[in-house]
Amino acid sequence: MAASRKEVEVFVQELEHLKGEVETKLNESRKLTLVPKEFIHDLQSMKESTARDIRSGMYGEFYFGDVSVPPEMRQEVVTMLKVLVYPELRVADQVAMRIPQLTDLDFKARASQQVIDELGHARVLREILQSWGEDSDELFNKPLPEIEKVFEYVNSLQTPVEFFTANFCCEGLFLPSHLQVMAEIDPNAFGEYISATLADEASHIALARDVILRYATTPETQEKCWKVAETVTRLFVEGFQAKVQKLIADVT
Amino acid sequence: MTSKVRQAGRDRSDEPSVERGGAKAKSPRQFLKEIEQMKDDALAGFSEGKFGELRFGDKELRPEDRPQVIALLKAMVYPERIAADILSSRIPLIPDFDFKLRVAEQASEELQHLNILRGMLAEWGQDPDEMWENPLPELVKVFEYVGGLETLAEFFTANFIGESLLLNANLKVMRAVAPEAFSVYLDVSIPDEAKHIQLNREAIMHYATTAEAQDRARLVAGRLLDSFIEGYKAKLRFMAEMAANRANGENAPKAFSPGRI
Repeated sequence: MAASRKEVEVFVQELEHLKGEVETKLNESRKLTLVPKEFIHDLQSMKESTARDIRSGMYGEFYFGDVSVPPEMRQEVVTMLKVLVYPELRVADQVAMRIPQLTDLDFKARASQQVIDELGHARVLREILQSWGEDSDELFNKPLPEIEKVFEYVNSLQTPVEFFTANFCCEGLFLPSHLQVMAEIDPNAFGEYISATLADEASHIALARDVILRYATTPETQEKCWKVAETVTRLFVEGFQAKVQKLIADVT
Repeated sequence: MTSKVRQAGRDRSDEPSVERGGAKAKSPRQFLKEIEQMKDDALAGFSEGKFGELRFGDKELRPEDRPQVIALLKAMVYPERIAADILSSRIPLIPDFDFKLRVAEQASEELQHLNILRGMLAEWGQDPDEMWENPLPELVKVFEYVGGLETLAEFFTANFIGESLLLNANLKVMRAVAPEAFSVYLDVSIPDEAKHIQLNREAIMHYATTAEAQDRARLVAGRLLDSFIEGYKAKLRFMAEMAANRANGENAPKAFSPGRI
């Protein structure tokens, strides 16, 4: 039997009322804890805003010399590749150390793959440098202090969710601030490294995001993770500036 | 390639013994041979049935209906999982890039083996994590010992012994005696284990190059052989218990939701 127009109107009003109640409840709970997806969204916004600042040149710009000169003849390119060896190897070590802390077997397996990927990136860098007759481990053995600081900080984080929040920020910033810039300015010099890394970065960011979604579910955890994100983003920017300065210093 | 890198890659495995602090070190190849011999002697004991024999029940029954098969698969969950953790923790301590990468690959492969084991058990309605949460104490001992080893020479020697015995005294026997029950797992794990053993061989030759390192590695090899045998006996006991329980009508497969895997 079809409902009368009046009955339908009453029913719609009831639904509107219920919807309002649900929204009020959701807004109240948001004051306590963001749902993990919203928390990720906020982290993403922080990351994007920093990436925009970096790309606008606010913290200096990478310069890789005269692109018509072969890359192996340009100190800027050599230095850039040397600088990158340390982060790739340290990330591999640090993710490896977190594997026993991860109880979820899917995360464990994906983290294990990330370790292999990062070591693969380091291998590409080292092979390029060695083929140019360079000491591939020079800046691994004596890294830039600002970059070392990032890794010391990340290493000190207690829980996997804090660790992967830092990873989420750093991996996410590395893509637009380094890989994209290197590809735009000098694809010839960095193509091999970029092809090796680019495909993997998405899965590493996805792993970090999934760990956050799984574990950053309480106000306390989200607050901790937010602080981690702020700190690591600041340290990342300092590391970026140090790299820009190093590239300049090595040619002057 | 820098001269430093070239030097590090030089094969010194056949160089004659060298003096270190008054004690004589064997050449890396000689030392590896000694460890191989220790392992082979132990394997002879396994072949003779000195430590018991793996039996997998009535072949007329489906593997999932044989308590011995289930018991062994459950018991193996712990070693595969803990091995991945121990290997991962060791990665930062390995300075040589090639070994670092191969250990990372091994850790990942152990997790793949784990995934296969758990998948088989879950498919048969068994709780795949029962013996991760409550492992055989003898197996826990083996891995606690390996996890606590200080040097890389000791670590890789322990791994060499463990993986070699696992391959030859367990996996190959499982394949020979009950291929129908284990092939899904063995098709992946046997080739991987052979690769892991080779990694350990090379790492022993690389790291156990001084008299002191060789002494320590030798002790580890002896101890690992003993504790592996204890672990093996514990697995046999557990399999026999499960079979006895089944015969007494106990220990029917627990209801299990595959959603947990």
